[in-house]
Amino acid sequence: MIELVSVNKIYSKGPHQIAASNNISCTIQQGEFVAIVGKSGSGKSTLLNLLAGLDTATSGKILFEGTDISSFNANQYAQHRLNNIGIIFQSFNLIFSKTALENVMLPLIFAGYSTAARKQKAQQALEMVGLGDRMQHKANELSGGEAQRVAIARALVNDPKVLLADEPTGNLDSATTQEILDILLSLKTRGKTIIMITHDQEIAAQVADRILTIKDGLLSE
Amino acid sequence: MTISDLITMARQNLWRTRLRTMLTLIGVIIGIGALISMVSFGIGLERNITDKFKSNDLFTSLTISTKAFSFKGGPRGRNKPEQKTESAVPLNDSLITVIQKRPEVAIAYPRLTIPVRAALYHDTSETNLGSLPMSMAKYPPYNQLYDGRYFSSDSALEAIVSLDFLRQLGLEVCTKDKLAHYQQTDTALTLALSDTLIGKELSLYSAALKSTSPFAMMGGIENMIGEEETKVKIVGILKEEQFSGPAMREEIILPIATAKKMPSLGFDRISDMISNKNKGNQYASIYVKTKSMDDLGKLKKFLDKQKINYFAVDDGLAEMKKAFLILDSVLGIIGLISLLVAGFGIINTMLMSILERKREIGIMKAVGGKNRDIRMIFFFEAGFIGLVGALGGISLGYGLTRIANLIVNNQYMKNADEFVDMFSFPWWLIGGSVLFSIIISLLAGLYPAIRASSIHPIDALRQTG
Ligand SMILES: Nc1ncnc2c1ncn2[C@@H]1O[C@H](COP(=O)(O)OP(=O)(O)OP(=O)(O)O)[C@@H](O)[C@H]1O
Ligand SMILES: [Mg+2]
Repeated sequence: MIELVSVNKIYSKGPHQIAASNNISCTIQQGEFVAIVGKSGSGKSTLLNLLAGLDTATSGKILFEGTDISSFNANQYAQHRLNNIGIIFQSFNLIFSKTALENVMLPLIFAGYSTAARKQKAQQALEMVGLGDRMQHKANELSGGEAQRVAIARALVNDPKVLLADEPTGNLDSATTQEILDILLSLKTRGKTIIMITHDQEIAAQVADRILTIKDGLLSE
Repeated sequence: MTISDLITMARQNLWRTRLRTMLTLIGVIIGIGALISMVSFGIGLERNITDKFKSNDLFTSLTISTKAFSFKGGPRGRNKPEQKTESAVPLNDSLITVIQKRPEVAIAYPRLTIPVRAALYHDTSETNLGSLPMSMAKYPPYNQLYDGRYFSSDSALEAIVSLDFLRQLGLEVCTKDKLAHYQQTDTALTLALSDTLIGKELSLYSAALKSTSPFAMMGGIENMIGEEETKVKIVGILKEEQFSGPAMREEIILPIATAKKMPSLGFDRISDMISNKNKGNQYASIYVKTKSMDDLGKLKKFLDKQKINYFAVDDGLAEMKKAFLILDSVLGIIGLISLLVAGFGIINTMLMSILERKREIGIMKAVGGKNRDIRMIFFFEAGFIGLVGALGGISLGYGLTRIANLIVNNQYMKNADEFVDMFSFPWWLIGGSVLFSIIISLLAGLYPAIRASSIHPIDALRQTG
């Protein structure tokens, strides 16, 4: 489903060059739950951003269902995310001034759904993450676990094939972490391909089919 | 993303920072308010002046005369009347018939001006007497007299008098219904109700030749000339006009046939008598009214070709229009500058808002928002400010001009017949200023919108907030 071929991402800071992704090659199958673990600064987020099309690789190929997305322009990446990718962040990245429902409806606005369809789909997604009773709450009135569930609902609402999660439980306590992991596992059973970043080996071992380790930009099984 | 989504978003985002939005809006409102009140003043002034001319039919009338004057002076409007040669065609009844038959002409009649001494009650006044045919009844200002009515026939022994003439006789005239809140301007005058004057007899004394026999001539000039009395009834009173037409300089107007029959001692008749050359009832001038302003131009061409001299006020119109255009432009530019300042206010607000909403922009991009979507969101916010600012500005401008009208009318025009609206709000001005405000706002939003859309999503998401 996703194939990386010799992907490099190099940040140049004056004379210093940092290879945040160093000649990474790997394949991720459809329906797989892959965990990427590594220390802080090892290049986990960089890799995820490349997969999401939020950033472009310095060199190499990223194939998504056979299409090379590494040469996409900003517009094509946006469309790619809209159609295929749902992203979940450590810091939730909700719009605080808007309600849970409005946050979840946001991708659907860009996708061009009618107002009624948006509302219906967003409600469904929120119910799936167990927040049917919090839809009209403002994002800044929600607890961390609730906020992350809204973010998951937002990532799911467009029915993407792939979910990318960058330390989704990084800001949560252990009980809430478990709730979020359970939701992600249930999504895997629905056929979603999930790529999750974590620095916690235990979590990775608990949920992932496969663990990839990254160190100084180098990826290994 | 539909337009209604964009409108909803713009509304929500602007409402979220309502204080800043208000301050930015005030700039636009003042700009549009200034623009619209300035320009509406210019247009209003032009309208009031041209309306005055139009109501006197100055743009559809001309006077044919034996000697002609031209406005076309040197540069910078030094319109010194310049004498031309005498008309090639004698101004007589057959010329009137020819002109009257032209398709563009509504009315043509000779202007008879007779100097008279007029007596009403015990006062007398020396003045000029004019004459009008019945057909003028339907044209302003004769169709809207101050009081009374037009003549009943061309040969009726009736007169229409001006307020000015009555003032010369020591009378300040007022209608019954206006009496309650009338403020007398000149205490030397006696206040008189207009309906008591109507129906009053007016005695007109005109000079006349008693006899043209050589015997009488030998007895000296005083034996030849005497005064004869004509009695007429006042039937109407003319309104006061600031800009009076050529037919209106007379203070007493008689029906044309009555005036022709009046004993008089016109210059023409004396010169005829002395030169002993009968030119056959020649007139000093002929008044011609055309059916429309375009027709006036056609008639002028015809008269030019016939080498007939004439005088038309609309010669000065083009010059006047140019002056108004300059005035409007200057007023418009002042308004424009304040709107431009408001435009910079919009740019500033939008840039500030981009900084604040950087993370939000990142989120929108992360969930699939395209650069164009982000651009449109900011663009619509700017346009929204422009639209709301325009509506507010129009209300402000309209309100201010109403207040200015009230002040001016109450302070300076207490006895004016009607309320004078100094401003004009044609639809194109209102529509134009809305359009203009939106255009300026969109232009102001252009750079911020492009800048917002080009923010890199990762940079944007890194911002904590
Ligand atoms: N925009 C950038 N410019 C320069 N260097 C960068 C940039 N973004 C990331 N880096 C560098 O690339 C390396 C990888 O960063 P990355 O954010 O991928 O790490 P990470 O594994 O996600 O760390 P963490 O667990 O702390 O989130 C780091 O050394 C970082 O300093
Ligand atoms: Mg990271």
